Amino acid sequence: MRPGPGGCCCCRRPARANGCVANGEVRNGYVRSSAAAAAVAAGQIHRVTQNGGLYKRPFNEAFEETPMLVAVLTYVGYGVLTLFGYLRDFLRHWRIEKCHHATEREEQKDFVSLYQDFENFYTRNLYMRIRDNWNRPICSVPGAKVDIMERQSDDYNWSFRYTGNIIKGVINMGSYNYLGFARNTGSCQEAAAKVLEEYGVGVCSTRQEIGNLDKHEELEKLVARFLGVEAAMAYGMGFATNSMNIPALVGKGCLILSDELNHASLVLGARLSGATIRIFKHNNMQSLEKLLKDAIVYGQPRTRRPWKKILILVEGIYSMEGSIVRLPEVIALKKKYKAYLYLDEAHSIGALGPTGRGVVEYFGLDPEDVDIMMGTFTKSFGASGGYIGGKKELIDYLRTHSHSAVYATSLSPPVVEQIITSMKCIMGLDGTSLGKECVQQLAENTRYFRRRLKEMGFIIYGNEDSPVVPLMLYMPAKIGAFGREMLKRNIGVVVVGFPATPIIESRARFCLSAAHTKEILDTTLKEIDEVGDLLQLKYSRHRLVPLLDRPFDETTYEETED
Amino acid sequence: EKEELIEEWQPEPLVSPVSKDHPALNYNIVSGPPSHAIVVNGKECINFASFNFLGLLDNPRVKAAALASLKKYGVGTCGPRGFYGTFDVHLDLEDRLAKFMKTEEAIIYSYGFATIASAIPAYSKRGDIVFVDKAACFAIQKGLQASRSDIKLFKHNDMADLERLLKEQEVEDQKNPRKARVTRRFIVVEGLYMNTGTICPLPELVKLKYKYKARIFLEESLSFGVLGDHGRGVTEHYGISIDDIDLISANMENSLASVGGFCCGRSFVIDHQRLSGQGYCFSASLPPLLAAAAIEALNIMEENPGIFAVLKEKCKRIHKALQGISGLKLVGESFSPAFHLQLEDSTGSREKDVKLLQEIVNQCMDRSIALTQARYLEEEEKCLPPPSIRVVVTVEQTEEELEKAASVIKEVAQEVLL
Repeated sequence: MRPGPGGCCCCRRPARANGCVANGEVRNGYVRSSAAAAAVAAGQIHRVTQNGGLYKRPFNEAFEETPMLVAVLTYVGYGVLTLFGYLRDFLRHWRIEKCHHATEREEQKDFVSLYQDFENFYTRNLYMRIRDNWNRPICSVPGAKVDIMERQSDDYNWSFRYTGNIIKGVINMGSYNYLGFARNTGSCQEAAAKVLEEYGVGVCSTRQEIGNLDKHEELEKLVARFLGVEAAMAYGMGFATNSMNIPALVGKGCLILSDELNHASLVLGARLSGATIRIFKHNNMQSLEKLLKDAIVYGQPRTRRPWKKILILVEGIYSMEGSIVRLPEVIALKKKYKAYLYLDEAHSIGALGPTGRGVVEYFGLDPEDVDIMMGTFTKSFGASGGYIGGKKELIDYLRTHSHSAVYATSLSPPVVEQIITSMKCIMGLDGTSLGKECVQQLAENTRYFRRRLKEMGFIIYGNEDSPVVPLMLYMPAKIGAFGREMLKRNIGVVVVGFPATPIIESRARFCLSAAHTKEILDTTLKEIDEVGDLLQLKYSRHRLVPLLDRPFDETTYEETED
Repeated sequence: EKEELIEEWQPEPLVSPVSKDHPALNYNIVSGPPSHAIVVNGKECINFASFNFLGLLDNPRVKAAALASLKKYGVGTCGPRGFYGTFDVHLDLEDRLAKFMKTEEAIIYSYGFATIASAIPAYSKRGDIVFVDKAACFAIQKGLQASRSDIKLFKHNDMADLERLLKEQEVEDQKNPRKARVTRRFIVVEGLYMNTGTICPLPELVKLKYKYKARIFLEESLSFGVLGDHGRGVTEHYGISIDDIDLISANMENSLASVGGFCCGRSFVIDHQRLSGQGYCFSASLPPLLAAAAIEALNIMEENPGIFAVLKEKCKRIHKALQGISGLKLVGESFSPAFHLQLEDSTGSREKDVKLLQEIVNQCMDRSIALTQARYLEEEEKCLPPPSIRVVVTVEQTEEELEKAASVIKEVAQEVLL
């Protein structure tokens, strides 16, 4: 289980019971009126927004409530594990059971201990049991199918031994390969190889000193063109882009309004900046508006002086929930209250929008409205690094004041070439329509996969158009079981639990890719169906009518409206 | 009334405008590879500015290894280490680094800056105490800021000052023994300091460590692959057992001519970062071609340990040659491959100093010696070093080139400063 974003005061993780209204209505103001009911004839559920007319397309997001029985059983499961944890710790302390983990040096035994015992309770007793589901080493391109190195553990996951076998052709539902550019053949790879021969691999200097290559200038111009902004700047690491640039933009006396479920890099950047941080509920515009109003009316907490700047931090697609930010409403609020918007499109660039330009294009909005557009090249472009795009003054300021430009090395040249080639391909500048096809394929795959999973009866979170598909597991034992069963059937999935998610909401997360063909998706769906039956994962009480079969029936609809 | 307040409020502009002739706004554009013969802004120069100490940037073996990896894995890893982003090359590289440094385990990060900035907050939390040198680099400062611990700065390389601070802390501890039992203490130092080119007195530090029970974190970005008979860094240089240092962190962007960083040490210490190092868990892993390049670079380092002696020779030579330039003083050890040239008498304003030094750099570039000023973020550094020109020595520079560089710098300094 990945450690979640925070553990620090600015990112509280309340054990929310899914934030749903108790009577079973799905959350986030999913309003259904009789006018909308007529629209269901197409099998789609339309949302009538209170902000009438801001959304040019249906925004279907759903977070189904946790069934009561499942919640209770999950808590019981964790309770049992905790009890056993205490028992094992006791046995280990009294040397009845062998202690496997590394210990401090003899000479340093009287130093203050490096770790607190309780910090690692969770790691020792719960994480260790199912540790084989993470850090699976692979030895091929992370494309649609991947080769995983087999590992065995003889001592209950405390240590692994490589058997030397390689499990070939595992379907890869875990890598962030949205447009399928993770390839070792093709034009991108050839271009990167050429640049590697010419430029070498490293750069050995920072952007401001002597590490600014002509390739970097080319890349930045291309990124600016791709996004539709005036200028852009590229950095070597996506995580570092956030943590090094937010402090350059805001400081003490400024206010940051950050979404509840923001990524660790945004949280770290916000903390390092020294500004005051306030959290609004996930994707909840009423909460954001209230915070904005209060901030402007009441000013800074003790002095009542007005805030210098207000910065709203949101992400395009949230990777754990699969939800898409309500961008039209955020922009309307930002304009009304004169705040600045920082949009982190790590997962949404390339994956949303008819031509892959991200969440701004998906909603049909103007990129000039977003003050700071940030994104990474790791997911849809098959490379590494991050970028920030915006007005020329902003980028000039960042060129001189960003921590990364002064102290960190610039991007490696073959990586830059990969980004340039893949971006040109997506934009269609290389003369083929490959880019457009990939974007369309991804959208189709997303819709198909989500619909089929919902029909099978699983609880799936998130927006219908997001290629990140979380499937709820809830119980701790099922986390490990699901991961292992799927690997037995030659499908590699990602499972996440606490602390990356709230304690009872562990999930399996599928990342769809344009490289997945329909056959691959069908195989996967069949296996998920089997495993779902085996592990009793089909919790959903809202069975969607499969598109082909039944005609629109008012009574079925009533049941879900509850 | 609330509506009025909302109407009236005007925020500051998002960014303050940057003047056109801000010294850092116009980057030098390098066309082609930043190797020994570098083309900066259209001029062909000899490279005395990139940290390519062992000349591995355009080594054909390294390029071939990277190319093979590119053909096998593509460019990106498309995921963090926990989610199918761990490649066999990463495991290989971690193994090789651990073996090379003779420690139990090593962990790789995908960005040099993020290495130490994620390692420190993984161990040191609010309430812990960190003793750090005043000349520590910016990455360390960011790591300390993220950790929210108590920071006590001691004068650069001044062991007496450090001991004084440690003693004061001991007195505090005796007043409150319960708190002292749970407060961890750390000493963070660099092997070769980036900002001054001096070496840390490691033997005394180890003595202080055992006397006052603080753990040492050593940042070896500049000294890895430079100091010691086999390039193992400052511990080998002084002959100290590597187990005495709790954590060694280095970046692979200097001697190894790749990208990324690593930490090595005992498994007890390093394993913790696999779940709590932010830059490790929440970031995509290092692209495999960069890891393969680093492995090949390590191979080359292991095969010819003679290059370290050669590098030392060259450093000493240019150090001697650059002594006694009128107007500029040399700051740094004689065996440090990256040292600074500062103005002997400052004009009084930092801006003017920076302009003067930039003039020197520009003229040197006109005479085909590529140099650079050491860049800092002036508002953000805790202890801002004075402006300086950074000179970097690599094994690829021949003796004639070293001589030429020395004479060019002397001439230009005379012209500009007098």
